Amino acid sequence: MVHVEGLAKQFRVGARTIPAVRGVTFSIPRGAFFTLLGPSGCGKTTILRCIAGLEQPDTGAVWVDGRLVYSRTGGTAVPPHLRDLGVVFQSYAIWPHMTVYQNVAFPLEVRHRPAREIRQRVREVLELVGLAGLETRPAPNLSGGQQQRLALARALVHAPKVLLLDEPLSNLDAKLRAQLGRELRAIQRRVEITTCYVTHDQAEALALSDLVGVMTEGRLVQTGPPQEVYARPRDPFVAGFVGAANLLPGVLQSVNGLALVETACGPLRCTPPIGLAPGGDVLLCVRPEDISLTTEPPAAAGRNVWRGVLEEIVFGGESSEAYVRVAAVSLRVRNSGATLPPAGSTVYVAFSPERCVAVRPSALP
Amino acid sequence: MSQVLPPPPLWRGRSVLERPDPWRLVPGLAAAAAAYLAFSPVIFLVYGTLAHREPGGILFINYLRAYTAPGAARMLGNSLAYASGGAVLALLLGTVLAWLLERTNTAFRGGLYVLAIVPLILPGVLFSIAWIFLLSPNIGLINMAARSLGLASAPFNIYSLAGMIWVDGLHNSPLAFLLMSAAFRAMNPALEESAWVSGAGLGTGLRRITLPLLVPSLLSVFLLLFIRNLGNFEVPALIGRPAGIEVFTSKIWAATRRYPLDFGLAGVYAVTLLLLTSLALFVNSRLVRDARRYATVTGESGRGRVRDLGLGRLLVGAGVLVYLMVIVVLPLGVLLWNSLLPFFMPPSQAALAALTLGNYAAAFAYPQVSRGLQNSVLLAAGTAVLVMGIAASVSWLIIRSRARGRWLLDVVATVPITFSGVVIGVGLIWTYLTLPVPIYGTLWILLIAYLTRFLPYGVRACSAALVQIDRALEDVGEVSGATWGPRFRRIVLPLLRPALLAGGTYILVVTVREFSSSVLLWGPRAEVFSVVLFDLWQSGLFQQVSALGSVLCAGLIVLASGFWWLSRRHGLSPG
Repeated sequence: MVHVEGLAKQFRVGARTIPAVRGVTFSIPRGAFFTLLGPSGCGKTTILRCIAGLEQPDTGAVWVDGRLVYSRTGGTAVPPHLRDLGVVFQSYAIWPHMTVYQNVAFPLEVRHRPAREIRQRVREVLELVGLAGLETRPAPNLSGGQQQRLALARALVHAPKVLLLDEPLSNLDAKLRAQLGRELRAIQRRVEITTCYVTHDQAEALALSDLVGVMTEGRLVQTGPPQEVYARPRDPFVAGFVGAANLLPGVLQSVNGLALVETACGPLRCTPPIGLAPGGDVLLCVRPEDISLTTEPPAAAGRNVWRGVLEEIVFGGESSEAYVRVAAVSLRVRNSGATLPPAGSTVYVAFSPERCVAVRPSALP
Repeated sequence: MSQVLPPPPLWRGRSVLERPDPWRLVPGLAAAAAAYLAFSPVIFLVYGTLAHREPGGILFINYLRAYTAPGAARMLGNSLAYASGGAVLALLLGTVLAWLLERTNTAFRGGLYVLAIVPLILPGVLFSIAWIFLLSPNIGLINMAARSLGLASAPFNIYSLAGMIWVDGLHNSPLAFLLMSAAFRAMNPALEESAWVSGAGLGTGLRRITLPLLVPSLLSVFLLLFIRNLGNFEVPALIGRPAGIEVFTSKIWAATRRYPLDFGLAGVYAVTLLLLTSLALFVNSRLVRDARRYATVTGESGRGRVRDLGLGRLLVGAGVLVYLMVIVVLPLGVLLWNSLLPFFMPPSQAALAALTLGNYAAAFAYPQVSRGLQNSVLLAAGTAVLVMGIAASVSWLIIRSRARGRWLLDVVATVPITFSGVVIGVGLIWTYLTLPVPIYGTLWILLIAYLTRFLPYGVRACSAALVQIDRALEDVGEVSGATWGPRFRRIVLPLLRPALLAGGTYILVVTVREFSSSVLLWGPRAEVFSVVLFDLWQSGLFQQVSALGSVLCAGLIVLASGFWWLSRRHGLSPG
């Protein structure tokens, strides 16, 4: 497992100091695939580099596989080569002066393993990533996807305790990215290695991970299984960054089984928020695909139903998006299949309270 | 395929609207000038070595004579030992310094970086003289200090091959540092970081990853330094000749100075030097191509952080500071110290009491000093303006025009890089002794030498800038109805101005310092400052030379600061 406690790191750029990470704590259970997800510049790569030991945090502590590897106050700083990790860099960092075999054998050679074991282990791991037969190929003569596999093989060959991956798929084209992502996940499950993965791509994070930690501006704002992070965002940033969301400001009226919120479009029922008291401002989050759109008033059946005007339709192939104005608010509705009435028509939007989450307007102080 | 084309509209009639544009001739003239400058010295040099012989003598008589002359083999051995020794020392110092400043958190890195480049500004003549003042067995301050500590004899002797290599290696180490810094910056730090996280410690990482990856760069920089050293005349003239260590450049110079003049011998050695240089450059170009194969996909480059040296960063920073003191402050200090004394004295109470500005007054009283200074300034200004003017037009032809044979022009603009100063000197002697143009021994032949030597640098600066400027800016000018002349003057030149200014300042610095061509081509009343310094040195006027050297260094440092400031302001990289 990996445990990161109160980690903070600032960078100096000229005379200014820029806080990259502002106090982050999380744990990765043994064998889990954990993803740090956030926009570029949110500090996720810095955290990964701190776990690897390539960066020294200003405060905080890091444990890898139960061993304290960094603690500012405790004066512990284990250098990277003694932390027993595997790292895949965004640029792969394949050594161009070596063959495929030499690249993979390197971590074992510097650990002075017997030659027999090295040969066997390299063969196994090349087979695992699907590069068997390319041992003698000079490393620069590999395609992007092959380089990525090679980087993974090199990171796994010495059976490290923890695997760190820094946006390993971002240099590949979309089709290859999806395929290699699935393979990566299968390999990770097979070798049962604790993994920390960094990406800015929310689809990738949701598809691959056991746990997702969403970051913004140096803070970890929500951690949980992908389904939970998607369906129950606890923060407007998470709601907007992980998938698309309609965000409506409102005031929490009462909590009685379901919560009642007063908004500019009218009253609305939603899932009761955690830790919010009636009378406070909230932000409501409804996913575009959870809203249905009809030309006739639908049977309410416990749902929230509003009347509005269809303003604009954006055709998008497999699904279209409709923008519906209700009072002063424009709602985004994803509509798959059904034909839409022409723009300007009066329409009805409906969504169930279970699909509507209230969050604190800004979790960030 | 018969297709009926519509008749051309009448208003397309070019001859009606477009007036003849005399400016259109400018790039053609500039290209012709560049070609003449590049080829005339080589052609006349080779022709001269073959044609200059007794009637009925064999064609290669000069070559036969030169290669079988007594001491020829030793001279070749000395040249190769000096050139490679100096290159290795410079490369060693420069690479270690580059690694420390690019890849570790050594203390005071910003300041050290600036200080490390200063020796590039100091003229070779003065750097050599300063080290003679420090390490000469008789008058060297360091040797005197050692003897006062009780040593029986002087521990160092600068008048040796080792002394030549020491001075040359120190003088070129900043160049090696700059080039190796660039190599480190071009190398994705993740390559080294992944060795580290794979389990390799500092030593293993350096040995198995960093160094092997640097091999192409190291070889390439070694060859460039080797070529520079082969063509260097400052160190062989001031240190090698008194020690009886002859190399190509000093042999060539001697052949043009002694009586009877032996231009045949000088020519043969110059041709040989040219061939050696071309061979080294050819090998280098292959290496650079190989190095490019090593390039890998880089994601966030420059993101790589430095290795933490812990408390050692202060110690290493102090060590680097001492080294930079040795190559910057010590030579400048000893020049200044000597310039203020009536005769040689080690620092003492008595010496402090004897400090005087008399040397400065005495030095400037020599008529050739003020004349040399005037000539140098005049030539430097003329060279800077002409080089940048020709370079702007030639670069435009190479980068922008669709003229056939542009590649040839590119070659023309690069070829003179293979010419060392001495080769240009001998080549021009042959050219203007053969052609009926009476400029031998005047400032004009010096101007031609400087133009030839420095045009490649100007073209490189302009081409680099021109590539950055969107072609559409000129196209808009054309669509707006401007002919080539106004387009060039009102769009291209103003956009190139930062490059022209920075390049021009650089040319000023290197022209004022130029020695190895000048020493072959100067004539009575056509002296330049660097040659005057050498002349006074040979006459034994050491204190006056120190005074003039101090003034020259101060001037060059001001000029170089201007170049640095201009480059910074316009976001250009120096070089």
